Amino acid sequence: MTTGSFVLYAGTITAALSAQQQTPIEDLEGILSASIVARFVYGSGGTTAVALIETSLDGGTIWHSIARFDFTTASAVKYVNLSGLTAKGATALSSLGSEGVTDGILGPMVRAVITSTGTYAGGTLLDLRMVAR
Amino acid sequence: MSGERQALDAALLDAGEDIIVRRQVQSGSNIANIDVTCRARVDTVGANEIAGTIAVSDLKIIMSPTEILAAQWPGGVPAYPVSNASDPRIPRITDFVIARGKQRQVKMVDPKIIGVDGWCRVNMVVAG
Repeated sequence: MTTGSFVLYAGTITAALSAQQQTPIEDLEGILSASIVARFVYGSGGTTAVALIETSLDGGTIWHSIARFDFTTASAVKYVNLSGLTAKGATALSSLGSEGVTDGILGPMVRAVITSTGTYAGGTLLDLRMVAR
Repeated sequence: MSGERQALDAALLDAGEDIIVRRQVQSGSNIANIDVTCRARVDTVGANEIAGTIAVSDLKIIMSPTEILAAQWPGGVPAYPVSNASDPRIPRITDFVIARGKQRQVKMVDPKIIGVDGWCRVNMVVAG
């Protein structure tokens, strides 16, 4: 099991991104929780920026959305804390709406998928950090 | 773990020091630092090595990729084929090293990738 602090994505946002997948953080099997902080530093331009956090239980073939951060044209810092121990009944997995969370499912791989509309400028930056423990 | 890297890790444990390798995402005044603490051997350049852009204040660094691999540094980057950049885990000349209390620009990187063992060592020169 790998625990610790990881970067899911850190980069500037400029041209529109269409569900740009980032390489995953791996070897997380056995983690009990994941605290994720999304720091969006707005510069200028742009319309929306969405960071979708996904996990995979099958080595990266199928990805399930577990958290979603939505930003527009203002700087913000948002967080979620997800637990792998949350008891759940049989529940259909569905795509997440704005600021949505699916708790109780943490696989050994976690990645970020970035989508944006409009053209951001002025040094607009998105920084996604996760502590797995 | 490769034999070369294992031997280097043992040597650095005995005769090395901790440094921080920093990749900086910067646009204007907005900055995100991506740091990883690594074990390294840090030496001043020798008198006979001072030539061209190598200055007397530069430092030579020998480090193992072990800590970088363990930390999965620098984390998520655009997946291929969106990004066709070189291996993001290998330090670049746009990166920084914090050694002996000072942030220093990486001037030269020479990763050693040997046979089936793969990446087992990095030699760097950083600005003083």
